[in-house]
Amino acid sequence: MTGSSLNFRQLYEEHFPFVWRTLRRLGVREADIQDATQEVFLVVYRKLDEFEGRAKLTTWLFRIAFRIAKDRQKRAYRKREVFDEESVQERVDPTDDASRCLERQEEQALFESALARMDLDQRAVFTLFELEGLTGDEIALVLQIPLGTVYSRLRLGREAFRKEVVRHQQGFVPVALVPMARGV
Amino acid sequence: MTDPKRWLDDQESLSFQELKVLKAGQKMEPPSGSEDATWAALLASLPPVVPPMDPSVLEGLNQASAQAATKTAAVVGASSAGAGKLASITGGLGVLSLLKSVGVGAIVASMAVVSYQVVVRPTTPTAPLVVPMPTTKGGSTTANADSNPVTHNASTHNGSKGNSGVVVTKQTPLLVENSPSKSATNAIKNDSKASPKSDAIRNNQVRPQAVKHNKVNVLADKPGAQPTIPVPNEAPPEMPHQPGVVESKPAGKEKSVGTAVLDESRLVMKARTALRSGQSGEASRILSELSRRFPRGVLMQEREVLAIELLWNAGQSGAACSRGQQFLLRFPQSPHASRIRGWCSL
Repeated sequence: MTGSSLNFRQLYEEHFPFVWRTLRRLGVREADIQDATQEVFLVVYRKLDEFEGRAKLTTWLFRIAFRIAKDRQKRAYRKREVFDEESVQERVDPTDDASRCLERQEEQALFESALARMDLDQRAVFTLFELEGLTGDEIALVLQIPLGTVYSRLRLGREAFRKEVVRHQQGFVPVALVPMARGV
Repeated sequence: MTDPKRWLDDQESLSFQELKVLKAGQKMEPPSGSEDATWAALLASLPPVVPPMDPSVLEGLNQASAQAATKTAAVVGASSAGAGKLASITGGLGVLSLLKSVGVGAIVASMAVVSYQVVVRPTTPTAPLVVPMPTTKGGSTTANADSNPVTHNASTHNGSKGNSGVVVTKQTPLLVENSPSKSATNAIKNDSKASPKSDAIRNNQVRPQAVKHNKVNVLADKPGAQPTIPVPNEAPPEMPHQPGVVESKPAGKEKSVGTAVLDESRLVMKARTALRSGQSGEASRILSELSRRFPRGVLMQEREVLAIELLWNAGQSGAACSRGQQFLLRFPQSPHASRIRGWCSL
C-alpha cells in the first residue's frame, strides 16, 4: 500500500490506538499525549504521499512517533520539566470492579515505572520487540541501528524491567506514581 | 545472530508478577473519546478552506443534465417525426419542451447544491479530511494556547468526526502551504520540531450568563506601551450543538455562518502567529478585534487562552492566573484546563 492509495481519515482511525500507545510507551506523559499524537498525524498528513509502502505502515508511524517523542524529551529536559502525577485512574475501565481497577492501575503504573527506568532507545527496542512483536532485523531497520545494538538495548531494557518489578515486590512505590524528574 | 525468545512467547521465563505487568503494558489503550478529541484538534490545526464540490453532487448535476438532454432529444425526435403543416407547431412545442427540460434540470441542480450546503455529509473516500464546522447554535467555543510558545492550534466545538461544513482534502495544497498556523507548519516542515498543541472542544461545557467586554492591560511590543486585550465574559450560545444532528437552515444563513467561522478562525490564527512571533501589541489588537467581532465566536476559548498566554508572556503572571482561574470556573472541562493549571499551579 502506498501513500497515494491511503485515505488519511481511514489511516487515522485504524492507527490512532497504535500511535497513542507507542507515544505513551515512549514516555510521553498523559497531559501531553494528545498534542504529541496530533503532531504525529500532522507529519503523517504531510508525508503521506511520500510513503512508498516499502515498509509496514506501523513501522513508518513508529519512526515518526519516535522522533517526536525524542524531540519532546529533549525539550522537557531543557525546560527541566517534572512529571506530574499521572492520571492513571482515567485509563481504567469503569466497568471493572473496584479491586480489579486498583489492581490494573497498579500494574499499569508499574509497567510505566519500568519503562521509565529505561532510556528512550531502550524503551523503543523493548516495546517493539516484546509488545509489538517486531523482529530484531525490523527494529534495526526502524531505528536505523545495527542488530547488535538492538540486542544490547533489549537486554538492558529487560534488566531494567525486571529490576523495577523486583523493587515493587520489595515494597517500593512505582515511580510512575510519584513525580519524576526524567522523561518526556 | 538470532533473536532471543520473546517474553510473551516464553512465559515460563517470567515470574507471575512480571507477566502481569507486561500484559498490562500490552493492553494499554487510549481513553474513550481521545480519538475524537485529537481528530477535532488535528483538523482545527489546519486552516479551513472552501469545500470542493462533492463528487456525488457533481454526479447529480451531470445526471440532471443528461436527463434534460435525453428529454430534449426525445422532444426533438418527436417533433421531427411530424410532417406537413404540423411541423412548425411541433417544432414550437419542441422548443417549449426544451426550455422546460432545461428549467427542470436547473432546479434539480440548484436543489442538489442547496442540499449539499445544508446536509452534514460523512467523510467520503475522496474527502479524507472533514473539518467540523460549528454553527452559531453550537454551545461551546474553543480556545487554545499552551505553555510552549512555539505551538498552538485551534479546534472546533464539536469533536465528532464527520460533522462538517468544510471539507479539506489531502489534495488541497493550501492546507499545508498556506497554513497560517506556525506550529502546524513547523510540525509539517520539521516532522517533529514543532508541537502543534491543541485540544479538542467538548460539547456543552459551561454556559456563563453575561456578555461583557472588559479590558486588561498587557505588555505591548514597545516598552512602556500598554495595549489592551479583551476579557470576554460573554456567554456561549444557549442551544448546545447536538453532534450528528443536522440543522436545517436557509442556505444564505448557513453560508454566512460558515464565512464568519472562517473569518474568526483566520483571526485566531493571526493572533496566535503574532503572539508566537513576539508581537504582543499586534496580538492584543487582533484579540480585541476578535472579541468585538465575534463575542459569541466558536473559538472563544481559543481567544481566551491566547489572551492568558499573552499576559503570561508579558510577565503578568498574576493577571494571567487570575484570568486563568476565571477560565477554569467557566470551562472546567476544557481541554485547555490542564495547561492553564500547569501555568498557575492551580
